[in-house]
Amino acid sequence: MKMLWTLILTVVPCVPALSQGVIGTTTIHFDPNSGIGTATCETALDSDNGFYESRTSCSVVDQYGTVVATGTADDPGDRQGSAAVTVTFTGTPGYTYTATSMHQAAPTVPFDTPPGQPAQLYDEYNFQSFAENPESYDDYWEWYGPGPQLPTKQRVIRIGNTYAIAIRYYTPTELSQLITSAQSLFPAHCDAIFASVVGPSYTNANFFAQLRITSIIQYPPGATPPPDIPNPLDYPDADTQIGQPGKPIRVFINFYPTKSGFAFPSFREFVLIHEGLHHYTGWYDFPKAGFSDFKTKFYNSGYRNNGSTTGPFTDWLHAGCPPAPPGS
Amino acid sequence: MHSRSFAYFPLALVLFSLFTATPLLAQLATTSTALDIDKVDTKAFAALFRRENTYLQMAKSARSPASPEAHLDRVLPQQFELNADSSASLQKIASDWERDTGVLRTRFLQVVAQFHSTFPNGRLGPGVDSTPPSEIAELHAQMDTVTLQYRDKLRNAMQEPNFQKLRSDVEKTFAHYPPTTSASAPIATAAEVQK
Repeated sequence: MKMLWTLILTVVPCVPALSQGVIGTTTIHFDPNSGIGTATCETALDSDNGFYESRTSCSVVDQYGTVVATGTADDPGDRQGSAAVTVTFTGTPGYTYTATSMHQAAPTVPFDTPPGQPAQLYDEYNFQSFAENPESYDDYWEWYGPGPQLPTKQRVIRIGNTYAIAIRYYTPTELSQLITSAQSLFPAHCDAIFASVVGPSYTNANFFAQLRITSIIQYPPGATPPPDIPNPLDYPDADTQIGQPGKPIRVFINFYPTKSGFAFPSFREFVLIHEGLHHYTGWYDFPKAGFSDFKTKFYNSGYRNNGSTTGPFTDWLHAGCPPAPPGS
Repeated sequence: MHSRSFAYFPLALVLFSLFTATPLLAQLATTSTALDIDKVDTKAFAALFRRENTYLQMAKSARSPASPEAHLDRVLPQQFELNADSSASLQKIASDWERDTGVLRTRFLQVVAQFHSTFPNGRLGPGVDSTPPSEIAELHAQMDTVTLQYRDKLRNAMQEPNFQKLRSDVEKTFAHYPPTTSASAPIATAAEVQK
C-alpha cells in the first residue's frame, strides 16, 4: 500500500509540470505616419508557483550597431507574473533596427546553506541550465524548465533572448517635405526648359502638385525586392512605372541615407524631380519605339547620355540643365 | 498530503522514464487540437491584453501629445490592422480582463505567501516539502479560463473574418502553434537537491 501511494504521489505531479516555463517576446513597430519606433520586450512566467520573479532587459540597435534605446523591467514580488518594458525612439529612414530582449528569472526563495557557504536560492525548474548557453529566437519563445529542482548561486538566471527586426520607412510627411524641398531647389533654367519641352500643359505648380499625390513605393535596404528586380544589386536609384495605373514612383536603396551620405546633398530631391517628370509626361529615359524619351526630347536643351544608366539625367538637372559641352 | 520530498528522486526518475515510454503519455502529449488551440490562445491573448493595457496606460500618462509615448495607443491597431470598432472593443475587453484576472492574481499572491510561510525560516532545503498547494494550479486554470472568455468576448465584438485574422496574427506574435517541441521536455518533480 505504501508503495502504491509513492507511485501515485510521485508520478501525478509530472503531468501538469510539463507546461511550466518562461515566455519571452519581443516586438518592434514603426508608426508609418510619425516614424516613431516602439519596441516592447516581455518576460512572462507560465503557470509559476511563486518561486521566481520575471525580469527583462531590452535594447534596440540600428544596422551599424548603434544603441538607440534601452530599458529594463522587473516584477518585484511576482505581482504581475510578467515584466515588460516598452521603449520608443525616432528612427532614420531606411535603417534596420533590431530589438533584443534578455529574459531572466530571479529565484525568490532561499535554499538552506551550510554555515560559511555562499548563499543559495531554490531553482524549481532548473532554469540555470539555460544560462550556460543562452539561445536566441526571433519574436517569441517559451523555455520549459527541464528540472530537476536544484539550488543555485545565481540571483538572476539568464534564460535566453528573443529579438525582432523592423525597417524604418519614410513617412508621408517626410516624402512631402522632400518634394517641397525639391521645388525650392529646382533651378529656374530647368523650369523654363521643362515648360518649353513639355509644352503648355506644364507649369511648375502643377508639376509639383502632381508629384505630391503620386504614389511612392519604397524599397529600402532589407525590404523584399519587387518581382521585376529580384536582385538588389540591379536596383536603380528610382524608377517610375509608366505602364501601371497611377504611374507610381519606386525608390530604392540609394534613396536612403547611409553613414557616408548621398551622392550629393540634394540627391533625393533631384531624383524625385527626375521621376516626377516620368510620371508627368509618360516619357522614358531612352528611345523606345512608339514612345517619347528624355534623351531625345532634351537633346536640344543640352542633355547628353551615351551610357546605359539613367543617373546622368538627375545629374544634369542638379547641374541646372546646362547646355551641352562643345563638341559633344 | 505532500508529494515532492527530495528523497523521492531516484524513484521518481525510474517512474518517469517508465511513464514517458508508455503509449499513455504519447496520448497525453498529442492532446486534442481544440485543447492545443486554447492553450496557445491563453498565452497569446493574455499577452495581447497585457500589451494593450500597457500601451494605453503609457499613452495616457504621456507628458504631452507630441511625446513619443502619446502614439502608443495606435501601435496595436496599426500592427494588427484593426479598424476603429475593433480597436475600441480591444481596449474595453483588455481593461475588463485585467480587472478580472487581477482578482485571481491577488488570490494567487496570498496563496503563494501562505505557502512560502510554511518553509522553516523562509528557506527550502533537503527534507522540506516544496509541493505547491493545489489551489495555485487551480488559480492558473481559472486565469486561463478568464482569458479564453475574454478572447471569445472579443470574437463576438468583431466581425468573424477580422477576428480570425487578428487571432492568427496574435498567435504568430505572442505564441507559437503547435506548442514548441521543447514542451515535451519533462520536469523531474521530486529531485534530490545536490548541496
